[in-house]
Amino acid sequence: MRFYVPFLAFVFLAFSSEQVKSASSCDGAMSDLVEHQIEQGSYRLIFQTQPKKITVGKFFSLRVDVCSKDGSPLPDGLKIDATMPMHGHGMNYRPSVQQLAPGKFKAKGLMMHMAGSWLLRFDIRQGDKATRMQTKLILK
Amino acid sequence: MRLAVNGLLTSLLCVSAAIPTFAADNVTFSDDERTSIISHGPWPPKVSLDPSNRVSGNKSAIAFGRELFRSRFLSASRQHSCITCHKPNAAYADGLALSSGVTKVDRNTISLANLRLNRWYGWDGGSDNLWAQSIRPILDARELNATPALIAKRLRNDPPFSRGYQSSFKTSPNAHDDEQVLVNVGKALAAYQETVVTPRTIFDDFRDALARKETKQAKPYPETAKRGLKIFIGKGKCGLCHQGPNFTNGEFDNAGVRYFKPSGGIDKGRFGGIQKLKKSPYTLLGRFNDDPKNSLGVATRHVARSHQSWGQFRVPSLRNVLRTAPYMHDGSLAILKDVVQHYSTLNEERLHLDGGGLLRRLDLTDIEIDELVAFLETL
Ligand code: HEC
Ligand code: HEC
Ligand SMILES: [Cu+2]
Repeated sequence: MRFYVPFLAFVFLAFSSEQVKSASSCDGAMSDLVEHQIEQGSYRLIFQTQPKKITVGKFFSLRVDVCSKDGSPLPDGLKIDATMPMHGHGMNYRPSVQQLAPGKFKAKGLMMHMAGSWLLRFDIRQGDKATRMQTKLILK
Repeated sequence: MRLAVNGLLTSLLCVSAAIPTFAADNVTFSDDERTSIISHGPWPPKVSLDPSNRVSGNKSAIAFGRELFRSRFLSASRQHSCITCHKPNAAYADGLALSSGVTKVDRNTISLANLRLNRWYGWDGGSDNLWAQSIRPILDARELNATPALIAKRLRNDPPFSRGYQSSFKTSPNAHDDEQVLVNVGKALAAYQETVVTPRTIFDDFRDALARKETKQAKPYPETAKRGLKIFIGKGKCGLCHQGPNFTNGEFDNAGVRYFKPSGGIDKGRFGGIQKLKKSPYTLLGRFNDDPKNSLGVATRHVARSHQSWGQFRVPSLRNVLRTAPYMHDGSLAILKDVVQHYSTLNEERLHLDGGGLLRRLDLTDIEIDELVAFLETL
């Protein structure tokens, strides 16, 4: 019921099972993007939305930093996608991703057109190794 | 005027709906419900000028656009005009299921109002700006069937229209090439159409009172409409797509309306709209956009089509919806009750084949259907 309240559009982040861990060898490499973190395999991913609040129907950008926890090389590719699993649809826009430096990216052109539960997905690539990291967002 | 008619209609409905639910006391809303109701306002919303159109908001251009909109000058045969299909006294639509100019068109005429709030124009979103959408019918063989050369020649040879052009664009049409003249005609038409805004309604009064936490209002909002509103934001999930003050998220979805064209073949819907957009020289990414920063181009740059775009159409605004019958992209539903019945008896299997998982057959009772209709009539 709460999910269907098409209102103001603050985003509350609920992290999926891979929870945020405390200090690791990643720390030195991290930037100031401490907003949201996901960990998976060798990597920790930190992202920040711009503007800070995601609003239904408004475009936003992302800054993404990835660091490696076990010294494996930083990713050189990133794809971003978001879906509403309960509604069986995704975004109507395909974000463009620009690599700023190894492990550092900027994505533009994201837009969530409905209130409710979204899954934000990051597919990072290092050579031919792919890692999927995802997090759930509830858009109000 | 409209308020009075609405009030009468809803009070009639109240009488019929009140009989079986006589004992029902005043409808109340939870905090979550209040939050969603308040999100459908305020009205009218603040809008800015269109940065892609340098004559947006310009008085001379609005007057020139108004003349162009009414004139048969834009049709090759001089028999039609914009108001052939967008009649000012019929909510800038035509009341027909399928519109018709030189020949029949496969879609229902969209009522023109509140156009600054759109991100996309047309049922398929084939244009990303209002001036391009205004050029489209001029060139469409089924509508006004003209060419840039014809419009430019007529304009240069017509003293009053030439003067209108000159005062809007500070340049004579003789100094512009044919295509530039056509685009500027589109921009003047756009400046005029932007001025059409639907008035506040009793829903807006109710919503504002709720936002101010007032319990008593000068003009009470009918209890039937309140119950309809509860369904709209609740189990009907209508507000997910018909979102915000303009009752649309401005995007595209599949509401289970057939997409076989009356004339044969398939209406590709949003899929076709994106194809048109990519081919058009008149988008925000092209050279006719007057905004050096191109602040709106982000949507056009990133828009993506998928297999789900087939059969998707723009989520229409529900403002003024009582006056914009018939409904849906193909005008296939005659009155609001037909639309609500459509959602109530949706063919889920068909929808799921097309990839939609949000809409469900609602199986509303007759009373609930009347309540939802009563609510829509207050918008
Ligand atoms: C033959 C009937 C006809 C004529 C003439 C006509 N239109 Fe339309 N108009 C339509 C139809 C049908 C649509 C929906 C088009 C679609 O989705 O393919 C429409 C859509 C529009 C829209 C999009 C509104 C929205 O909310 O997306 C605008 C703007 C518009 N017309 C402006 C004009 C202007 C300006 C003229 C005159 C130059 C004009 N029209 C002439 C039938 C007509
Ligand atoms: C999944 C998104 C979605 C939901 C949920 C939804 N609609 Fe719609 N609605 C649409 C789309 C898309 C259209 C246009 C469909 C077409 O023309 O093919 C539409 C058309 C309409 C129209 C016709 C308007 C016009 O001008 O033609 C009305 C009225 C309407 N919807 C009311 C409702 C009501 C009431 C509900 C809840 C029971 C509802 N909608 C739920 C997407 C939605
Ligand atoms: Cu959804």
